[in-house]
Amino acid sequence: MTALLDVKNLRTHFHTTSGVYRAVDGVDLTVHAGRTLCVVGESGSGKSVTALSVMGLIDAPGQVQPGSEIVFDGRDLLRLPERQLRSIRGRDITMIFQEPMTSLDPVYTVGYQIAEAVRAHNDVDRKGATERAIELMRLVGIPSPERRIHDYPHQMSGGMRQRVMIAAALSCDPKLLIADEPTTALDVTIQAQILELMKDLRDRLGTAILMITHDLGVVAEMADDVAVMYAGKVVETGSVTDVFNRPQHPYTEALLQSVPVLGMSKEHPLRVIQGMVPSPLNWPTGCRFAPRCTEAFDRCREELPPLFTVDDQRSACWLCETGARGSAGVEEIYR
Amino acid sequence: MTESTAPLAPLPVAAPRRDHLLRRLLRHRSSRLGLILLAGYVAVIVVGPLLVAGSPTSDPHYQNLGESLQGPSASHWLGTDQLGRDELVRLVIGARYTILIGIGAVVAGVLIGVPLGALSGFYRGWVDLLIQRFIDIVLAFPHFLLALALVAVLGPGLRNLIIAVALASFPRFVRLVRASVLSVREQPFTEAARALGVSERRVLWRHVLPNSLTPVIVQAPLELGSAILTASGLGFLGLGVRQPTPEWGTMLGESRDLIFSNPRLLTYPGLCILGAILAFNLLGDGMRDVLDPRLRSRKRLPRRLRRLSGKAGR
Amino acid sequence: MMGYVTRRLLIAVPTLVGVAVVSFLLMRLIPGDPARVLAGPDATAADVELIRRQFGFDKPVLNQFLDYMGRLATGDLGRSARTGDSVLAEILARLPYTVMLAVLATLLAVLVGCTLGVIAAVRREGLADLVLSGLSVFGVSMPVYWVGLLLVILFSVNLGWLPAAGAESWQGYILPTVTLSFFTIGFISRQMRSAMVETMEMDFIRTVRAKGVARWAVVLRHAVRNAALPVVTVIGLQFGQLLGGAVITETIFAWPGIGRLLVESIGARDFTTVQGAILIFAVALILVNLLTDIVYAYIDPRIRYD
Repeated sequence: MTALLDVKNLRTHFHTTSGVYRAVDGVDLTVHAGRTLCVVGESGSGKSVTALSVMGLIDAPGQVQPGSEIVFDGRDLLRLPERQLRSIRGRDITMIFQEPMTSLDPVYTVGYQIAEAVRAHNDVDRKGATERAIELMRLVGIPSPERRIHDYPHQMSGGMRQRVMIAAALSCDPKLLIADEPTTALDVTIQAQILELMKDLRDRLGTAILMITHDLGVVAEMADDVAVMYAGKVVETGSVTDVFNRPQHPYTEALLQSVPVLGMSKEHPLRVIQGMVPSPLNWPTGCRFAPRCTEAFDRCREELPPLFTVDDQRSACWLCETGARGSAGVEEIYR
Repeated sequence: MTESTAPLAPLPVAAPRRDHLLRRLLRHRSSRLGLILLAGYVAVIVVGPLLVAGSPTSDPHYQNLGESLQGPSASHWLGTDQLGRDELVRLVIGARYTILIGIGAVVAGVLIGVPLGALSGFYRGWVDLLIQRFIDIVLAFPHFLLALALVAVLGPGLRNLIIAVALASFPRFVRLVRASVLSVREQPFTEAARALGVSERRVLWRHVLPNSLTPVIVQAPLELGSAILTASGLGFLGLGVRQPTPEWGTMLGESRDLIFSNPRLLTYPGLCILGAILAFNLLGDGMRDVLDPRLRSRKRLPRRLRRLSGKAGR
Repeated sequence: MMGYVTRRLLIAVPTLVGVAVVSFLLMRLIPGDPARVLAGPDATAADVELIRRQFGFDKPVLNQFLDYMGRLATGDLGRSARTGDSVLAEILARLPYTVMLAVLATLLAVLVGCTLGVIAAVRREGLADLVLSGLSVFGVSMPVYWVGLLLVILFSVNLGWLPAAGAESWQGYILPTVTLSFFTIGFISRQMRSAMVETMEMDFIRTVRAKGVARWAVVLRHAVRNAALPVVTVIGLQFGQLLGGAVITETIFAWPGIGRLLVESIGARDFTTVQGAILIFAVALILVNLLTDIVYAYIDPRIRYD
């Protein structure tokens, strides 16, 4: 398996008047060509900032810290000049966002906005770009695209707008599609349709997907691989079956146990993770999950654990230093 | 209202955490500059008359044609005007009129506008309709021209000037308070007061209105600047205070014919007016930044992160 | 969109009527005997009596009001007490000068103000922003008459480049236009800056950037276009300020427009002309606001297609 995107020790900090907000603070991720990696974590764990950092869309006061590496297709994006970065952005790496209601420009037609993505990277005239836009709209399942290219965003439903976003993102056959909670703002039935569409497109076009979500249901549906984020760091990665069945990090385990599932037995009541997510202005020393962890011991509160390799997984927990930690996977919990 | 009292406390409204606000205003670049400028004007108003008391010009009716239009000298630092009066002394005495007119007009505008806006927003229905149509009509007139017409009809003079400026500007306070009351009346604490059996009238004046005044406080300095601009403009056209009151706009207007021979007589009063309006505008800008959470500095987190982190990035 | 425009037009009608009522009432505010005031200080008792009958001051107020509205409906603004000419004719003769001045000043202000505002927003909290923001505060704080006088001192008195008065040549338009646009430039650039700053933080800007569109295109095509929406409304709202400034500007530059007519008429206590001029200014303001509403509807598809 070749690594398409390799993020190493990514740190993105925001220098605000009230201090340094370390939203992303040492993230390691790998997306393999043609595979789907889901980054999962609670609000404020740094998932979205990670995605925006890969896109090179971090604005002041935010800054990707020196020492970070974002290697895409063999090139470190952080060392590329803005011009080259822009030619990758939107062509090789594209992104769709959480808020289909506000993510499209209200004063241009959706056709124009798809064609704009086409024209940004291809030498085509307006007519050619429009034809391509119609083609793309058909691809993402928008009915009668010849007519709907003249629609403005406010004339479309949320699901349709998200399809438009996807169409624009696919305009140049990207190698990597970053999806930042693409279904969170949609109705449940529409969510399923959009996920179905993305799976279908992935299988047909072979695009790798980096999907950000807090919804473990989405992970189960979409992911080949999973990265669990907590407090600006990745605490566990591995294939979705491994991580779901044998979570190595106590946080992953707690997260899995906090989701209600039909048919749960009474012996396994929902688990609540005690305490609050710490503030990025002031991460705790040692393992950042230690204050909320039921298994923490002295070392956890003093030293930050690195990612340990456990079989095919990696976990940032001191308990994994010497190999697999006994844990309850999904199958056990829901049996 | 006496002329020499310090006019810094801008409005007769309760401002909770006032010194906290003052401290924040002093931290903000533009309001700090505005406050310093204003302090200068207040100092001139309070101390100035004592310093110039010995000069004959401090009597407004003084004239000495033998000394007219002299250049700056040791005895007349800024020279004399066409009637031989000391320019500096007149400017010092004029400060109080400019500030007095500004504050008088804004206070009057607030006194008319706030109750109307409160009634309009609170009772809605036909009261609202009536008041809003009326406001539409007043706002249909260019603000300065309405003041101009009112002064033309009422005749010049300090009192009429204040009335004219206030009548031309109160609709803005009506709009401001109405919008604010409309949102505050939907707040849970209003419901709570009603549930406790507080009368509608009391709910409005004791609960809703005091919580609706922030926009007025934010707007007040800008309105002061605007009132001074209008009033001095009327003075310039010869429709302001009566002769020989040394109001700056009037002084400028009287010196207009001297533009080729003595442009300095146009420069000084203009600078004084500019400084006063600038001070209030800077204060207003700072006030809006400090009190209006929608405006932000670049040193803040992007919107998405702010949503997550509460007030961390302010 | 047609529905929207019709609605706006219908709202403007009662406002127009209200404006006429207010301009009628304005003259009733004159303290004392209006006939006496209108006739002027040198008038004989017979003159005053003539004026009283001419203006109908001897009739009940309601009749006077109905007469006034009736005459207005036929476009009759009365006769000037000073010259005896038709007020409407006098105003129409001067209207082109005022319209020209206002249009030129607005164009200049929109052009310069928007450019400065966009630059300040793009260079947010940099040196350019600091300088431009400082300049625009000066712009909105400078009294229009003082700007005019300073420009005259500099360009007419000291440099002798431009005429200080009159509308005879195209050079004569330069100083009045710049004077009148000064405040509006500051005002628009401040509005444009904050609208741009707000727009640049919106989600859809991030989407456009994610498409790999060049930065200048993001700013000009998307940010400016969206930021222009609130600014259009604001331009309409401050047009009243501009008209007020026009009166002063015309006075300074001896401009043969309605503004100077108004000031001269006030000086001559020619209240019929004052009333007519004020009415015309109010109608102009209503029309301009109507126009900006329509422009807004046209450039915002959310209204255009509703």
